[in-house]
Amino acid sequence: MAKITHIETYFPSWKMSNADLEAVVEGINLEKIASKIGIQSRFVVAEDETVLTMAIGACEKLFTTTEKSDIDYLLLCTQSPDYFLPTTACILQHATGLPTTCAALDFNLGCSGYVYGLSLAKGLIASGQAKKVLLVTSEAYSKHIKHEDIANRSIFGDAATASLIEESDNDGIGNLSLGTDGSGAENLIVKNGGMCQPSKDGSDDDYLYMNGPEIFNFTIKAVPLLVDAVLEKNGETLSTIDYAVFHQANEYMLKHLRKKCKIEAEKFHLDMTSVGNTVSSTIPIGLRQALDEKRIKAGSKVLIVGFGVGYSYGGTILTL
Amino acid sequence: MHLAEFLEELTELLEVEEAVTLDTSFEGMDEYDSLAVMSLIAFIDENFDKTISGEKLSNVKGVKELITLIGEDNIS
Repeated sequence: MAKITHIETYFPSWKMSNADLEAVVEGINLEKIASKIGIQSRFVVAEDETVLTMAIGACEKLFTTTEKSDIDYLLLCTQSPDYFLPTTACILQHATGLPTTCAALDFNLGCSGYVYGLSLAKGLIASGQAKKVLLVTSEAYSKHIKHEDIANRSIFGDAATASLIEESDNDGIGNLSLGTDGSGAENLIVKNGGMCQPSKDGSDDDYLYMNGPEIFNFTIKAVPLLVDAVLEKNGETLSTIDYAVFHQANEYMLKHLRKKCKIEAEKFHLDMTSVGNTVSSTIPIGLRQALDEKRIKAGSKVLIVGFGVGYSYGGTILTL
Repeated sequence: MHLAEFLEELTELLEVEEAVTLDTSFEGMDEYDSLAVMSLIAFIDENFDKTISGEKLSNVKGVKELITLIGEDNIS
């Protein structure tokens, strides 16, 4: 069996405020959008910072309190890797001084990524292939977003997290419910620059495109069913769980989902005011915030739910 | 939902100063933006348990067309 034993978070140094964004386009006022999506500032990488440098930052913080010599598997979740090849996880292994006996790979997922990472880590430990898995999420969507695209720049923030998942006597990662609906691929996409459309042609297709309303429609349909499935698979109910950390997409969407899923406000994590939507890092950041603020503690049962780009979604119940 | 209540909710949701009526047009209305569409999706889901595509909602010309989309039986 496996459980999460440590979570660390890392943010780049530049905190971009709404006022910074308003300076980009003359006459724009972010007050209305900010009050709805609940984001006042977010961290953004500098030009010379990448997913790798943020991942190193998160891992180095983690290694100040934990032992790295016995980590035998490194999983890195990102959609903005430093290179097409090699995989960023290999560079991270060397950069952080992880043993060469450590397996390392990247996987490409967005807002569902942390749940999928836990799914992989749990499986690796259950099958005896690993004893101590380092799960890193590192995302820099700012690299994909057009400078003048204020809507997306106001939503997304850059961040990295590092979690340790270790063999344990109790089951800290419950049964998972996972799902995919690739019919929504075009609703959150960077079209140009991959092998299908390799040329960056100066059009908007060079940048991240998000069809917000359609993503919202997808979550309204998928997330309540996912929550029911996760609870059922784990023999829990909304009253037996202590807390819920959903992917922090934006405040408006989350408030609607919370009501629709009938989760009490006190049990529901809502905190993206100063970090924004950090994609695969929102759930571990949320867990870290809730731990630090003593809203959850060792033994707490926490429902986690990730959903987004793909579409891809998944959830489970953690026992901390 | 009663029509009067629907119009009241719509006025609040769009954050417009002048009360929305059956004849209100969304064309050229600054407040009818992507945030308004997001709010409408939530409102329609909550009250009518219905999903309407963002594209359709973005292209709605006015209140009458919106009511047709939601279903006239739902608003009396």
